[in-house]
Amino acid sequence: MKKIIALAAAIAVLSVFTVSLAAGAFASTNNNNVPEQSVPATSETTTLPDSASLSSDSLNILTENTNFQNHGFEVKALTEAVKLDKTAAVKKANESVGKQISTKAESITAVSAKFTDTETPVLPESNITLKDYPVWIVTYHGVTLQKQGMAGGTVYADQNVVIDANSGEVLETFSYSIK
Amino acid sequence: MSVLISMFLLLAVVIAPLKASAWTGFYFNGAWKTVSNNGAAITIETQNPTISEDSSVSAWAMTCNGTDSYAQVGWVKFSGYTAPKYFYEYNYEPDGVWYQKTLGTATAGSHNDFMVGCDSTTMYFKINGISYGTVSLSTIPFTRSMVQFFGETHDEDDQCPGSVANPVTMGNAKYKNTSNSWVSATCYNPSSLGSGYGDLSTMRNNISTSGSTEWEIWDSRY
Repeated sequence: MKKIIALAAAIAVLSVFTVSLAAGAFASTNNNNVPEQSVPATSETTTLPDSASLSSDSLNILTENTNFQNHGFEVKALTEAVKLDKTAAVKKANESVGKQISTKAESITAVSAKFTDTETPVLPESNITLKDYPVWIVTYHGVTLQKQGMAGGTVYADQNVVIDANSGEVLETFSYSIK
Repeated sequence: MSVLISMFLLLAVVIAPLKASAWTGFYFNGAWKTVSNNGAAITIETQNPTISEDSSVSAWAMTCNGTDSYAQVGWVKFSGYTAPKYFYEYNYEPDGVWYQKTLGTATAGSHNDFMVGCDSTTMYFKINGISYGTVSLSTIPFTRSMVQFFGETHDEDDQCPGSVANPVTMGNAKYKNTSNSWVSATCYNPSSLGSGYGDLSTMRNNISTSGSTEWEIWDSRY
């Protein structure tokens, strides 16, 4: 009798555990085509320039990176108030790149800046001009990415997500191989 | 014993959804042409395919050396995106040079002209006639021996762009010849599965066995 009770208890515990696992798995695999969550910080709150600069990682992360410099990007210190703080920017970027990248990056940095893209001054299907535009640049350092156009191709790279520092919109991404 | 078997069955059923759904491969559906060239161009319809977690789906025009070096432009949707984005990308081996940029949002249902081409010094990437990026040919000095026009997925569960009722059109395929004139590109389906298929049996197309300059691709499950 004791054995039966013990077995029943074990099954009950196991059932609760496995149902929890299933719920978690469903939640983690059923996010295709789900609209991106709104970022709370994009509401009416405004991050003051001082606090924005304090929470930002150093601009030098970008300005001293030759890969960044070689592709026509320019950044300056952000001196104006923005609505998105660093936490919200990283959250937004994480949603965009997915868990495969956000959880496996060797490190993640987030730099607030006035951003200029000399190669793509105006985004397609947009009236946004990327000249001294207030953004967060969230960089996933040391990630493995899929190449498009080549069977079996993966690359060890840095991926940068450029996020509108006020609306939270992902404006563009750029990624480059690293040695 | 029957209780134990029931427990194992319960575990198997419950744990099955935990299977990793990250990308698993590289699957192509479209056409190519072997020809010395200075660029490739095509008009591709944008659609918003269903994508597995951490995977991506794209459609593009590309000039390449047929093995490991290329330059391409088109649209791409990653699983974290709610809509496709324009992109361009290049790769050069053996130097390990790789760069990818995604831009703005590509509206589903729109038909856009994608062109990747070069002059004597520079490769450019154009969308609807506007250049969105360049790279020096000295950075990617590969022999341009093929043009390719494909839809691409990375997981068998990804939707190849297009459905039975609404296939993705790929038309007006061209290449820039070595005299630097853009000419019509009659392309062929390279699939080992045979005429009308891509790399997966669910990837379908209507590329003529005698070659096509325009065609449709779709996923037979949708």
